Amino acid sequence: MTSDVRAIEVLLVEDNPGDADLTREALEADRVRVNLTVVTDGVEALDFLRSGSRPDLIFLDLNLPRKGGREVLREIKEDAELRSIPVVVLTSSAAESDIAQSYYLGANCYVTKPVDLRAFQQVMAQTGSFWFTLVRLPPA
Amino acid sequence: MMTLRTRMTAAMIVLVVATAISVAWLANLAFGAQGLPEALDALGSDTRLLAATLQATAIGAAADILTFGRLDVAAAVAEGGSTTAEAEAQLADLFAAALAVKQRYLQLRFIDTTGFEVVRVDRRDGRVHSVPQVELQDKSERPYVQGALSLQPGDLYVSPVQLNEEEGELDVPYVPVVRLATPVASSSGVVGGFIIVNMDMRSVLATLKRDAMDRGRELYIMSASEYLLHPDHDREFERSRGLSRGWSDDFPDLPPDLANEVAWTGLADIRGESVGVAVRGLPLAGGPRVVVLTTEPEAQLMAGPRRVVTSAVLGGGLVALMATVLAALLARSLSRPMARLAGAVARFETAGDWDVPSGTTGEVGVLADTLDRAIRSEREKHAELEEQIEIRRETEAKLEREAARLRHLSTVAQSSLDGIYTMTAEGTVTSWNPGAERLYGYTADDMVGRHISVLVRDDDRPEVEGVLERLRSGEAVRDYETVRLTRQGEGRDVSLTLSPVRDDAGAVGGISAIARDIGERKALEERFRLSVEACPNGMVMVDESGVVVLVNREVERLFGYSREELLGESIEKLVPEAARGAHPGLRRRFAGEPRRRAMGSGRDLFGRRKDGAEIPVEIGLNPIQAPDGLFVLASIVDISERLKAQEELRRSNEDLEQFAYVASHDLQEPLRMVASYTELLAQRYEGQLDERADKYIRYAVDGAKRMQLLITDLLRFSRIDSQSKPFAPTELNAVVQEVIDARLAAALHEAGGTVAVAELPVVQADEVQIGQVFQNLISNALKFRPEDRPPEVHVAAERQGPMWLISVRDNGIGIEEEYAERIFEMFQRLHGVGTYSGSGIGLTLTRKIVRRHGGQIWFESTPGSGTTFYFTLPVDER
Repeated sequence: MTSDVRAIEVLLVEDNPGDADLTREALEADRVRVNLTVVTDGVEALDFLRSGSRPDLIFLDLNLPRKGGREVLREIKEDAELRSIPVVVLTSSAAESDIAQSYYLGANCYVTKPVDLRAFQQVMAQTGSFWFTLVRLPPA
Repeated sequence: MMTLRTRMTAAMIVLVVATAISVAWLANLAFGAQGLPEALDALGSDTRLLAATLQATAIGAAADILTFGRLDVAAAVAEGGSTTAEAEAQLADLFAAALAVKQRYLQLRFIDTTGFEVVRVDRRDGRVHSVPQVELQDKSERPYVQGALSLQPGDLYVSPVQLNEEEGELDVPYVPVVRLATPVASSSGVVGGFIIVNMDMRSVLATLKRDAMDRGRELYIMSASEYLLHPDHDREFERSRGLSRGWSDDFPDLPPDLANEVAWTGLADIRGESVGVAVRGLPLAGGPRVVVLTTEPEAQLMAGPRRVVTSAVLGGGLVALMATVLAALLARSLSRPMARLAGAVARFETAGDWDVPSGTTGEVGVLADTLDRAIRSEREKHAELEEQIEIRRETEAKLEREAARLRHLSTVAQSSLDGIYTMTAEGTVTSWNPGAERLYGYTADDMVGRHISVLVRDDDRPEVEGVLERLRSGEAVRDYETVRLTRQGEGRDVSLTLSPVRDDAGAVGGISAIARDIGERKALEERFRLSVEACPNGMVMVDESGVVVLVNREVERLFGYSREELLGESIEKLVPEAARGAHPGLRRRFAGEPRRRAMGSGRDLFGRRKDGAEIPVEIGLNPIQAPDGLFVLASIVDISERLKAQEELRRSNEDLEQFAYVASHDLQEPLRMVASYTELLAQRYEGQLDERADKYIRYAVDGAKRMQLLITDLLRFSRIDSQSKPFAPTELNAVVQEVIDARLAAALHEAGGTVAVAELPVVQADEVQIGQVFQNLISNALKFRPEDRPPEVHVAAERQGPMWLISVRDNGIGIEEEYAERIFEMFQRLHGVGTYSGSGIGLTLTRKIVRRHGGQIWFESTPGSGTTFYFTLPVDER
């Protein structure tokens, strides 16, 4: 169990603000303190990371404008300074090709967003509980 | 006054002398004056009979080989090829049988067009001998080979009478032979050789010679240059034996053109003796001329008549002398016997009835006996003459029978439906049968004596002149199709067969014609041509060798060739170059098994246009068996448009699926927002707003959810073809169990229903899709359940031939008959939105999956008590 009092820094890469809010809602329902930063495309995400910010965890959508999620994933995992940050691919796609490709590029986890709100809330609660309470994240 | 005795004596002398003189006069009158011409006529008739016997022998042989030449087995030998050996053996058997029956045949052969013997049967030492193949010889240098090969089938070659040779040496004793030959055509009409017979003339010549000798006559038979028969055996065949003497010096008194005489009778001076001569010339079986000449000394010719007259005169004189001597003795007792005798003589004179007065003795009796003997002797001579006349009558009867045969032929011509007529070599009509009257409208009276050109159209005149010229040169014209004018001036399609008619000397003296009305056939041909022309498909007819004989307008349009550029050309002209080499072989295979079928079924066929472009085609082949061979009528359809349309349809289907996939996928996202936020609204604010707001939020949530369901199903529907897995052996029991346990457990529990599953087969299927089928059907059964009883579902299978029939039976509300058609259509929901949930796409999806698996789906239902859905799946034969 974590004894960290510091809020967990999470970067959410999601172009749809509605989706971003739903995710935020779901994560905030948890008791854990989460500091969520939202960027809306791949370029912005990489700029954010290369400007020195080091989130504890990244939630990455695959369908993004400008630079796609797969490309962002590849660049993070090829970058010696960024590769240790766990990346959770959070997408509506359940296609096997997407799942396989994401893990190949170094994704730490792949979660499909359920269409139904309750199911979505459930999944996000479980995902949050896994990453924020069960797992030891890499040290800052 | 003289005494009665003197008077009677004188009267008797006068009476007897007068009687004797009158008998002699009557006899002379009866036989003397006409004796010589009658005797010469008899000689002439007998000579004609001898000539006819000789001719009959030759014609008999000619008939035999013409018959052989028309046999199928001879045609088969003439044709050559694989079956020839059998045909040759059969022909050899026929030859052997002919030689066994006809002793005068020495040899029968079939010789091919190169002059080589193919079949040969000989008579050797009196036995029939079929010559083995190794001993057959090349005869191409022999004159009879050259002669026979220049002829048409049905024509005849006849050699001169020659002495037989064996390996270049004359056969001894000499054997005079005649060779007759006729060409043999194969079934396709090509001359492949000829049949030739060698006929031994010895027996017929000997018979004729004996016949002449029996009558005290001498018989000579000559060819153009030598004696074939002579009373002196050494004089025969002098030239053939290398001697220089011929026969013309032997008859200096005869007309110089005796060899050309057809018949001549007369007296001639030969070797200082006056002889009766009768000559008969004849072309032997229409071939080389021979002359039959009979001589009889004039004395012998006249012997019969002279003997009658002499005995009559002598008898008369004797009676007169005796009458004078015995007159006195007789006078006494003569009055009655004399009267009787005188009466008998008078009766004989008037009625020719001789009755010897009986019971007379003495001198008058002697007189009566003497007279009786004279009369009897005369009677014998008379009988002899009558016998000769009878023989002549028989000869004439034979000639009459020949004439009757000709009349019979004429009757055939009279009753024939074909027009049969004859012409002079120049074309003037000489006979005209009723068939010709019907055909042309002219009667025999109209036409006989007129030139045939009245039937000919002006434009055809030069051609007709050419045909007449060919006939005059001896050529026959068969199946000549043309148009002739009737009396009414109408054109008539006819087929003419024209033959030259040769006279005894072999010159073309006339023309026989058979005209057949082919108007009906032409009309049928024309109708056939018009139907082909009007056919919307391309039609091409080719003969057995692949030559185009008919094309229609559509073919011209399809291939860009004009009709003139195709007729008479090989069909391969329309075949693409790549396929051209194999095409003749394919055509031959079709000819071997001609039946109506599609060409190259299962393969893409192309035709080659004149501009080199290739067009996709479909071709149907129809064999047509005609009298002149096998024809193939090909029907050609350009399928470019059809292929293009199929390709377009396929692409459009693909586009549609792609569209459905993309559309439903992209719809998903915004819909998820709508659904999630309305749901979130409901979660967070339910009870905080008024009741109406809560209801609105509920409506929005329901609508969004139904929309989501719809989109999920649409997405699935569009993926049935594109996202499916290959078929694999699938245990249906396992599939159904998985559906019940994993996907329908909640629904079953909620409805309180049961599903009974019987034993199901293993089939080739896409496991996921077939699971979808069961899920849809079972969930429908649960969904449309009655309110008063728990749902029960039965799943079972039974085999029906090559298919499994699978049933899903429920005890639900049933389906009204009127919905039977609509139930499988997309978005057809039978119930209001509020009653039963569902996208309306489930059964459409189900049907699409079943069809993709090669099956069908339907249902039987009793509204209120339940529905059974049936679907079929192919039995897995592996």
